[in-house]
Amino acid sequence: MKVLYFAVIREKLKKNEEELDFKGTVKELKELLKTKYPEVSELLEKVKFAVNEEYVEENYQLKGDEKVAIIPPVSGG
Amino acid sequence: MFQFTEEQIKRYARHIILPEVGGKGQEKLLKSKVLVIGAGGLGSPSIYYLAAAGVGTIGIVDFDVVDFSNLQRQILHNTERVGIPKVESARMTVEKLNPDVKVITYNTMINKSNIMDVIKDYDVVLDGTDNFPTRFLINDACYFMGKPLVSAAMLRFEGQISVFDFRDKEHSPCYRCLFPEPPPPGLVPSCQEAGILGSIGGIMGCIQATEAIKLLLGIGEPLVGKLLVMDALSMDFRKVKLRKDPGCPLCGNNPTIRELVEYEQVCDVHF
Repeated sequence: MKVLYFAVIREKLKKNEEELDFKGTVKELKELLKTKYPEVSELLEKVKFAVNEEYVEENYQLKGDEKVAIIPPVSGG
Repeated sequence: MFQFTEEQIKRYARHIILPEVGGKGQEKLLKSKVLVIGAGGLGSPSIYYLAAAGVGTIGIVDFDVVDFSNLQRQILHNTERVGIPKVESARMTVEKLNPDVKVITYNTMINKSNIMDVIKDYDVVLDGTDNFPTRFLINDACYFMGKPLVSAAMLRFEGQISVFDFRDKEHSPCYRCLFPEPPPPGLVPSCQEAGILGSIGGIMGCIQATEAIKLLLGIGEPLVGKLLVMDALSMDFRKVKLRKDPGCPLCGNNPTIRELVEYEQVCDVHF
């Protein structure tokens, strides 16, 4: 699957997107990313994940061919 | 039938010729009241276009003064006006552009005790502020008052915008459905810490003005239940579908927020 990063997560990880070989729930993906990227773990906890351009709940089952977008809030005006 | 002056017929000719606007729509705009909170990077273009469009009353909230560091993006202001209140500078620019517009200025920081009174008379509210505590306060106040809110924000080369139409509370999600509470201080760059390409405010502020005009005229499909995310480096625009969250602390089935809450500001606020 393709994981897309935005705003401060993009900035901290220094990447816009990556390919991941993953099947499981959104919650499990979140745990995996928290372990892989401890520098954004607190932020990942606060952000809802969007799958194929739609926000989903944590128990959403990912098959592995989705596009997952992780979009933290921004506050600039 | 509304009596346009000859000057107005010329001024709004390109609107009136649009079947979606027409004379009736232009009359609606002239009778509309829009509140813009923050006369900065987002507020500048949105206020400018709302004024050009002939929105009859524009309320502008900002407590700050014009600074040199604003001029890279805040196009309502100019070099001569450094040091004067932004709301006054905004008023001068709008009055030069369109004498049909009545500008009401609020040279004050919006907070829990004044927000309800400020927003109560307006048809649509635009959020162009630069900090999370105020964004949550505006969302909550608009929800309680049933006011449609056009909320935009930006960082570096990215922008986000959504419309929360609280005239239809049953169906419209709110800002908290997306982000239940402000991120802990320090986790997300705030205020002056992060850079912003000036023209990003132009793009996002113009989308805000467009959404506000659509709401006022009742045309098209506003960004209700959708977050539009723009990445200017790749120039990708993504619309992400957003559902009302039954567990939302404000608009969910068992709300825990029943009155305005004020979160602490973590740094000086400058729109």
